[in-house]
Amino acid sequence: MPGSVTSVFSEAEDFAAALREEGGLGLLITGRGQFRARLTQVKLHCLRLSAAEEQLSRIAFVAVPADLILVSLPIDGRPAPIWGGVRMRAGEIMTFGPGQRVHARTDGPSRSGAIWLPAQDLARYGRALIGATFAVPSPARSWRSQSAAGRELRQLHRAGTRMAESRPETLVGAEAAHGLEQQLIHALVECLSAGSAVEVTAGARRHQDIVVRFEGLLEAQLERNLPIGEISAALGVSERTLRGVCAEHLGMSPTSYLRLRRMHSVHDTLRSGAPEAASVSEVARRYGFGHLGRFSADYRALFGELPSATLRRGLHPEMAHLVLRRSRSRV
Amino acid sequence: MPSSAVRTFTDSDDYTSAIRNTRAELTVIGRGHFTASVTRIDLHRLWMQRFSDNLPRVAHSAAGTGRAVISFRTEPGPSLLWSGVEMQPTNIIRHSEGKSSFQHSSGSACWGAMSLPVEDMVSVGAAIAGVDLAPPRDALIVTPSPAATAKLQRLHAAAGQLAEDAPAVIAHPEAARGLEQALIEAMVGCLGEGEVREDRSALRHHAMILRRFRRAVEENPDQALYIPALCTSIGVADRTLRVCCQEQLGMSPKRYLLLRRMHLARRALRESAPTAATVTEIAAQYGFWQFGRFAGEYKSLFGELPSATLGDPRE
Repeated sequence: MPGSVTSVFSEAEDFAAALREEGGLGLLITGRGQFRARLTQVKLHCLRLSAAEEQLSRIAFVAVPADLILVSLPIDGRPAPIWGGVRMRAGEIMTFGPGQRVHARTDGPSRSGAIWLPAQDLARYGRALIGATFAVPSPARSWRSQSAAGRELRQLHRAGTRMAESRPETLVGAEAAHGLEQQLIHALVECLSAGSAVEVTAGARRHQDIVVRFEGLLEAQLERNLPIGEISAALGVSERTLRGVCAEHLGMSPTSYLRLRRMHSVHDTLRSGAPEAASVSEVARRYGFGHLGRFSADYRALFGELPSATLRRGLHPEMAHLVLRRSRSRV
Repeated sequence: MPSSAVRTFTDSDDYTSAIRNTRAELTVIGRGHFTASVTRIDLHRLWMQRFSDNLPRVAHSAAGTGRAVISFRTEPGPSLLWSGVEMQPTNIIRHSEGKSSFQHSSGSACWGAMSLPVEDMVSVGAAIAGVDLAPPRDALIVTPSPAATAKLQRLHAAAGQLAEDAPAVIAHPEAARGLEQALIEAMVGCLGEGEVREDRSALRHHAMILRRFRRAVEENPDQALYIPALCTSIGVADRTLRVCCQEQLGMSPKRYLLLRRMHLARRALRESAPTAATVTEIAAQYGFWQFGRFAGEYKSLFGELPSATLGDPRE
């Protein structure tokens, strides 16, 4: 059943939760200031579209579901996320194959568009339109598509998401959704068959693999302040390589990233209101922050409130509702 | 009882429904006011028609059965393609029975047609020229001698003139018989001795693909169609379909389907009450998502904005 949702977020956690439906495994806000984001999600028959507009810089870690293809496209020439260390240029699109994991970071206000479609449907239409030679792209790839097809893909995406924002009832019609979907698929297949793929070097693939394993390692060992030597040894790469990979994909050093992850873990735990989140100092210590005074200052700089304030909200969620004035609207 | 009629049209649907023994559908692809005229003359056994229309268009016609039909261009002019073959005042198409085909014009087109019941055509062919003039399995393009063609063209035009100026002459059974005999002789004179050009096999193959394309279109008379689903259902790749359509329709299949969607949207706009629907909704329903572009294209095609058509059932 086709439909659409337009949401406005003033809380990073709510936005992260909405991104989970889009394959987002994690969202770390790196910019300072009031969080604001707007997300438009459109569901057609087999294809989904989304358009996001965000104020603060961030690093998202995205896992493409095992049966889907993700197409990322810049919107209106505005700064788009840097996917896997690759900055998309105007007129380019990027594709990510089923099961792929990749970081998407921004360094300021950004806008981006995405198209999700089942790999199976893309393969079926690709073979019907192009012939047996059509192959579904599997690794991350960027495509230069200055062609008419690329332009059309961007225009259709924009028209669809704008319609969802201004006249969502239009998209509910099966006929209308079918028409939009068919034209998007046609343009996409043309982009992928006629556009020139930007070759992914073996080195870039290796870096991609390292950063995904780095993320996995952090996930398993979040409660420790791992020294960088230990991390690089565990990943089987040199410290220099690890630094290079992190700078490319995450825009910061491995230690900064690790510290940021741990800060967010503290924040999430305090907010959860779980019994183990009884005191700030205990939670901070658990995630490897020894010096409480410096930690509190850093915490406040990052989240705009003291850890004790987060804890209070965590313990009294019914109050939080009143205080927070959440402005997430469902259309 | 012999009879004749001369009619002019400003609506393409009225025009095509006036074509005898044929189910035709016409999509105007050029800009401007459409005008067309049909002169229809029914003699005793022979029927003839003369057509003229002024705008570039694609016509799809499915011939009826039971009659042997020929058609030819009556005046030179901008390109007029029949199944990808250029129609000239010097060649004649012998149609097959009951098959469908596309005719594409890129400007004003004047053409004519004649037909006899199949058994009459077979007997006159055998009696006058000793040849078999039964409708061929696949259409044939015949190039007769210039003299024979000129004679047929002259008689055909004269009959058309009579229908306009002196229809009473045609309605007179004896006069009609004389005209009929002269036309039959001129026709057999062309077909009996003409140099026959076989349809090239590539053209036949392309015609077959286009028939599949056409069938898919016909099975969904009220629905907007798009290339991905269409290529999937008829099993032809986009590129091949593009070549065939370019050759036989003079445009890409995407463009053809877009024009068709334009016409469907126009019909929906006419049939909708202005209060019940909005132009944007109807446009989106027929796959037009960039509204500004739709309105511009609509205006240049139909001479008015879509908002002016909404709820206006005239024409």
